[in-house]
Amino acid sequence: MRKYTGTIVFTAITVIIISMFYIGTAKANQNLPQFVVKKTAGSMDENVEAYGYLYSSNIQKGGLSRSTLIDDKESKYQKDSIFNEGFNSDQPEVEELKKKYGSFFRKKDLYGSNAYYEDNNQLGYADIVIEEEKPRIKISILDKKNGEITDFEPGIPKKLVSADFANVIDVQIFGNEMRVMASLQHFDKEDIVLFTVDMKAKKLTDVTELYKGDNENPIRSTQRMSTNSASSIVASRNSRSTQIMYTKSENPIASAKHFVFAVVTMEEQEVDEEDFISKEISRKYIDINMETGVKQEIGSAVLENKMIPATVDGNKLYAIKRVKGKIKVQVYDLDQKKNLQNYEIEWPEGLSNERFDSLQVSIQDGKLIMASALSAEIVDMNRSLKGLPQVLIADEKDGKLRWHGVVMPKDIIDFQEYSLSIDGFKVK
Amino acid sequence: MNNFLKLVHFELKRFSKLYMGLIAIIAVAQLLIALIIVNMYASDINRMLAQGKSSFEILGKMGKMSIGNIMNNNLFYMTLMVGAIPLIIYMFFIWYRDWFGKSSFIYRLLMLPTNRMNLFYSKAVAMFLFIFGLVAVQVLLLQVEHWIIGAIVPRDYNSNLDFLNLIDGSPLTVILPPTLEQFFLSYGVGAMLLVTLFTAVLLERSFRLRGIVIAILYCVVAGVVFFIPLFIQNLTEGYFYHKEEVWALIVSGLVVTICGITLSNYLLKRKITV
Repeated sequence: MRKYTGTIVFTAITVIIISMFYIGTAKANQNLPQFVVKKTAGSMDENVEAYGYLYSSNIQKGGLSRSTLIDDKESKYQKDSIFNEGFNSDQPEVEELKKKYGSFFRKKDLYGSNAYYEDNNQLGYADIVIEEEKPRIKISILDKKNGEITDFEPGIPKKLVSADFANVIDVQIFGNEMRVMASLQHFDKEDIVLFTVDMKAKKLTDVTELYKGDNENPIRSTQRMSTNSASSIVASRNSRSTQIMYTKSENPIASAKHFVFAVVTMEEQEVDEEDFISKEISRKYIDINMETGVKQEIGSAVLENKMIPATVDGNKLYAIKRVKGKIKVQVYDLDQKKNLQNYEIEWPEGLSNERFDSLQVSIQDGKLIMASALSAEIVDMNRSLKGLPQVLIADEKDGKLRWHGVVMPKDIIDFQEYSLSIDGFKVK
Repeated sequence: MNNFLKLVHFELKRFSKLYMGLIAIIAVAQLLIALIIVNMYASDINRMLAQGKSSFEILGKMGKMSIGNIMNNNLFYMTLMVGAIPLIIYMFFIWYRDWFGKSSFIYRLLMLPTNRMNLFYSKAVAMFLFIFGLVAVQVLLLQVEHWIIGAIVPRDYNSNLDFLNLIDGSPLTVILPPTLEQFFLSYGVGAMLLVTLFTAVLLERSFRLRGIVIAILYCVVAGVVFFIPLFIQNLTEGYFYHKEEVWALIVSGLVVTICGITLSNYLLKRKITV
């Protein structure tokens, strides 16, 4: 036996070191910072959950990005497993539906919730395929009653093939018609197009150009940017750039008659060789009635006192404006084309809404939910309450404050290499 | 069992001197690289402090020092190659040295009163112990490099991040996957590759020149079988969910490994004769 001592010791040490390493990594994973959603004001007892990502702000740490769900007691992190379908915390609607209708979601883009539609009877999906030979829309409909899936691929006009790629930004079904709104992205511009498909005849019946990007100026570069609930391409020019920003309802899969987007023109001024300052020159809001395909510009005649459209729920457009310590809200009926009401929501004292630019607004079950400071460096979170992601819940009818809370570290933490990014809040 | 353990011990002993030399080269090279990088960082900080720059400015330009600075250096990866390349070569050599070494040692091994597959398993286990041994050395070296940073870099400039947190996402995950689950999957694929290579060597030893062609064909077929789930996924335009795809790859990997072991068993017992 003594003869084998060397082999036994070598094997034992190797096993111990590797085991210790994996015990250490398991502990390090459990050591991720804990956050809670804490109520700070309001009379109602809401059960609020925040969902988002914890990621590393240290470039040397590589791609650490862990999806998390935060409630009033703890933050649960998605297990780091190769069997995970991916980080889908920003697509909770798709995740829920996938659990129910697994076979329908095969061969589909699980990350683009905008490409799905759901009502009581059916589930729809559309994807635009830009191929020189056969540009087409891939359509899939699930009849919820009998579980039957219908797939068909109507062709689209070849003149649209010049786009580099297409991104479905909304799908709606009205009777036998499916409306597919898509962003056609070219090297130097972005067009918004509405396709109408007859689901019975399985044919494309109409193509309406809703917005045509101009490309008069030479292009310097393109970059992807993220907006409220969708993303768009920004084409930077010598001095000007155009952004398309979508204002969508909380659940992009649910039936919605109206779709509002903003066209923002920015001018870039060179500060020095490397730095530019962007200045907004103009902004116009366009409402698309998805049922009729009619578009209307929402200008100053509709919006009072420079209000900014924030979200759409059914036929109601909610526009907001920041005033000191308050949020002014205007509710406008897009069908009747008349103002429904105005009210003010008071932001709790001491929790200034200074990071208004990142305010995310949504309507959930008659509640107006406003969230701000959604991307927070932990170093900021330790410093002051103002740096914390905040959520304010008001009654959608009168703007009365029901609940205000913050996402905060559970204990004082020293995880300054991490950042927390909240994608949204769910009120149960 | 006893015979198998004796054979493993024998295989480890045969390579031990070279292996220790390899470990010594890697350790010395890596610690030297760490010392140079850390000292360069520390002297840059001292120079900037002497120029009257504030800590804020220095950190803005240099960032905090962590073991990531060492791990991201190309020389660091060259030291990993120093370990990996000899082991890859030895995967073949572990068999061929028995045939081409002094007095065709393979004939003595094949005459041993034990199941011939013990030869195959002992060589495979020895190879894995060599690989895991180097991985363990790397873990120890990372810990030592972590201490070096702590000893040389002033506290304000030391991110003090544990290397356990830094490995995730770095290229080092190839030898040290960040979770135990990934460790088993990665080294499971490694085991499949090892069995396939050993089988290819035995095919060549069984059929000589013809065997080279058969061995190459066998490796190609094994590769195709292993990647069948990915081909199907591609053909069906992503029909399977990611989880199903991973399970299918595990099954195809097991099929390739079991077929390799079965074929090797056949070759060792029926085709390779003394």
